[in-house]
Amino acid sequence: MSRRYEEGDLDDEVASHLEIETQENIERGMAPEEARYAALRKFGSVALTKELCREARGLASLDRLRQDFRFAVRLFLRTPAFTAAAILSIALGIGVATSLFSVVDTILFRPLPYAAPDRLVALSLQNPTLNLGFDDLPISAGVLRQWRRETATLEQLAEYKPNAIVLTGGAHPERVIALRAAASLFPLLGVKPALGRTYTAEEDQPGRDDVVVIGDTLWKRRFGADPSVIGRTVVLEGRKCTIIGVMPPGFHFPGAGEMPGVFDAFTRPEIWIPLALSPAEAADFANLNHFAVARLRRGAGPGEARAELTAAIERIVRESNDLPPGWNATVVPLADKVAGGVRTGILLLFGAVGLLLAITCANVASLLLSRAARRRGEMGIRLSLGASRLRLLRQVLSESLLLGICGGVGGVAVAYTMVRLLPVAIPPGALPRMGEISIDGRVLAFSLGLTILTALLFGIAPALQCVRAPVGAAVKTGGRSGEGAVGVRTRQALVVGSLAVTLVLLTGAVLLARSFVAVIRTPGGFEPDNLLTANLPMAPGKYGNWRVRIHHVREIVRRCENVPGVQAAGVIDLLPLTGENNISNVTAEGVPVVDRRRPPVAEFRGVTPGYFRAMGIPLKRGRLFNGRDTGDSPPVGIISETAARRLWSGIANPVGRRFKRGEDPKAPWVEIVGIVGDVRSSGLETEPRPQIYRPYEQDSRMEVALAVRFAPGARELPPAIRNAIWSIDKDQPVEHVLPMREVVAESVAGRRFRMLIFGLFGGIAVLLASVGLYGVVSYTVALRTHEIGLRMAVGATSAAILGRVLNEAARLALLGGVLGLAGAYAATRFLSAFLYGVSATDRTAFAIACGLLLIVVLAASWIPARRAAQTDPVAALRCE
Amino acid sequence: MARIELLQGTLDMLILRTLVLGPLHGHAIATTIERNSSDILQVDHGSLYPALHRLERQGVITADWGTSENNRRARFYRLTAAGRKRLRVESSRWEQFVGAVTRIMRPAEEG
Repeated sequence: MSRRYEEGDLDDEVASHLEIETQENIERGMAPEEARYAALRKFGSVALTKELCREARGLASLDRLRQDFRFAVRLFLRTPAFTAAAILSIALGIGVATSLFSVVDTILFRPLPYAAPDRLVALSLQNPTLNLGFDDLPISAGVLRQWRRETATLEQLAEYKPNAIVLTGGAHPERVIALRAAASLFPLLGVKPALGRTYTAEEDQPGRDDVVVIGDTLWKRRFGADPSVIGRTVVLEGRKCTIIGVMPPGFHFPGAGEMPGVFDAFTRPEIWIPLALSPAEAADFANLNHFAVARLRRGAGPGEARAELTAAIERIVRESNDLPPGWNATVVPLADKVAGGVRTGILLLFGAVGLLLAITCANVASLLLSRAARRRGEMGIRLSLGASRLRLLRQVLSESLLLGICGGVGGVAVAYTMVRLLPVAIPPGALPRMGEISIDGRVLAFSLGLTILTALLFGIAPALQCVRAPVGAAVKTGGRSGEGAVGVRTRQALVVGSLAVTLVLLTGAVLLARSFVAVIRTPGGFEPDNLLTANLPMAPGKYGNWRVRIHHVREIVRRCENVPGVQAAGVIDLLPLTGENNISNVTAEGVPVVDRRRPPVAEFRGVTPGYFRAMGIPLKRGRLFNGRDTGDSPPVGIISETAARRLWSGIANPVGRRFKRGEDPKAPWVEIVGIVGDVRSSGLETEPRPQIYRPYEQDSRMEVALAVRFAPGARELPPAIRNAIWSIDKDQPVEHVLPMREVVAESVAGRRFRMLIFGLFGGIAVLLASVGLYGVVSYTVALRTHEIGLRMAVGATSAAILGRVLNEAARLALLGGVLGLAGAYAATRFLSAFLYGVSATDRTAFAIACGLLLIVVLAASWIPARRAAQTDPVAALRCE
Repeated sequence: MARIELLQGTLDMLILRTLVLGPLHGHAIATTIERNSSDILQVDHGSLYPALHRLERQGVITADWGTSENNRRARFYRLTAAGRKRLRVESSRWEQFVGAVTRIMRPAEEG
């Protein structure tokens, strides 16, 4: 069959026809030139015929599209710089938007990877009357048991409790995060183990609970992914347990986000252990130390469950005396719990990326417009020859589509890379479900839709240009003059828009930066320099006895103090800024409770005497702990300034007064011996709460942190500290050995990340907007070459020309700036949740952002302005 | 006699008819039509090729490159089976058309 009919074939065919006709004319007696002329006249317009033939060949739309694309490809290959710039910007914009979408999709839209995820709810308690400052309190085992028995709206319930345990035996002791969970957890979530089985309700009882289920990461790390791990024993806290199952990869219930504050960056459960509550523990109403997840019965809603559970707990309050009144049950869909904390942040970022993409489209549209203007002549001629406007429109649009598609493909590559880099870039735990984020079908579909949308967006302007091309004028002037006016206006509008959007992004970035600086500069109440910290978890098997524990800790402090370079060492159970807390009610002797509904609370900590000196916490009144405050001496305590102010308000010097923890009348009174400065232990951004310190010897917990102050310039401290500790107990895990400065930095990692991302976006926006501005200013300068030459010829100086160009650029910038300020004013309110120390309309921030924009505008317009000022008037006048 | 311009649909039919006797290149088709109509019909050479290409796209004719009488490279068109069928249909329709118009224009003959 005949091969494809090419453009060249048409030329040949027509040429052949004309030759034959010419030949015949010669045979009829005409002179060769006349013969040719007559043949041409008889044929009619060759160009028109060719155009009509192209139309007539019609070709299926697909073929036409192919032709258009081939034409577009040739066109783009001829201007590689432009093509590269356009494709790169589109790829960047689409890539970033797509990666963010995959994050948004996973966290906000995709159902959790559990069975019937829409009916899964997280249960918690709240009690506004207790003034504990938290809305999401854990639940006691007794209450949960009651709920399980009495409620109809819950189909299944599983309670769990986080625990950090020490695995020994094997190469080295390792502390792993464990979850003590009821046997019902696994059937509730509907996740089957990858190997072996999960434990049953029979095994979930004290005495029969020496079975464990390990997670995929632990299996790979400690057991080398050995499939025969089932049946092996591990030693947990001194107890032998059998591994009966391995969970599939990606299972981390509860992961970050599902229990914020307890599980964070570094802690995800790797091992699941039976809860195995003793009868006494199972009946305990008062200790709020369990979490619970449940599945609603089909047809029941969270509101119903909430009412039912609250009623149940009210019954418990009435019938037993173990709980104060005022409880509300909270029933929240698990998906919301997971996503809730980060929803605003992610949507905000998404919005910012959308803005960035808009600037990209504006830039590419502007570039395409400048080319469209140059092709006006060609378009006009084709129109006058009878080509339909539709045909031209189709061709221009297919050029834009081609550009868009190339950019889109590049964008998918960018997105793929970004998603791969996510775990590296984002502080771990800042985003829930991070393991699930990937580029899948939905994300690709979004990418495709976005590509087409952006192609249409930036393709519209040049397409409209060619449709409106006035036929006659273009042909007459050969396509040069008049091409500028319309295109330039649109381009200027686009640049103004880009500048406005850039200012909005810049303002956001500056606000976040100022917030970050404000947070970092907030004094934490301690001296963070020259301070080393470490975590020292103690195995209950060895240190369960409090005297043994105290002695161990005392020894550790003593040995550390003897390490060369160490100035002071101390131990605390919960280091500031590490997220955990220990809060209780306080009964202050002789101080009437002002508001029954807001009883006084404080954060409790156990510390060794050297702690305050090591941390650099100032003593304000009284004394610090010393060697005489032991487990056998009278109970003493040190309070913080806020505690003194709030709990003993009106009393000038609370030293010597007494208090007790909780409200138990049988508990001993504790005497206040000193007052120290406040420490922002919950976070640099949080106002310090009342803090009460007790000597570690009188209030010792299983896990402590070491704080060591050293002389500036002391080197090789971490290994020396480790050796000192291991010289006492070679199995003592020494973890997270970090300078305090890094602990502080980790506590603000989320804030830093947000600031950097916004800064990145602002930077990209600045780059794009300045490229756009540069393009437009250069273009107008080129158009006006003749005029500039004229002005110079009649006496204008270079400086004056420079000034004129800068002036024009400044006008664009001013317009963009005004729009941008208005936009920023309206938009920054969405940032207010993330600001600290600055308001959303902070004047300094706005001023800084405007200043940055001004610098950028000046830089971008300087080069074309200088070029204009250096025009050679003679050459300029000659050019038309 | 004035030369009469051809309507598009008619040109298509004439092209098909001309190709019945064998393949011809574009120029030859035009001159054949003109000659066979004793030069009454004027074929606009420019609109011939769009018509040819349209017919080719519709599949009623096909084309191959070949050499013309005077050793020039030319594209020769040829009827396909579908083209023959189309010609039959168009012819009969044309005759009906002509018959009907004639009856109207010369009603006296009816009586």
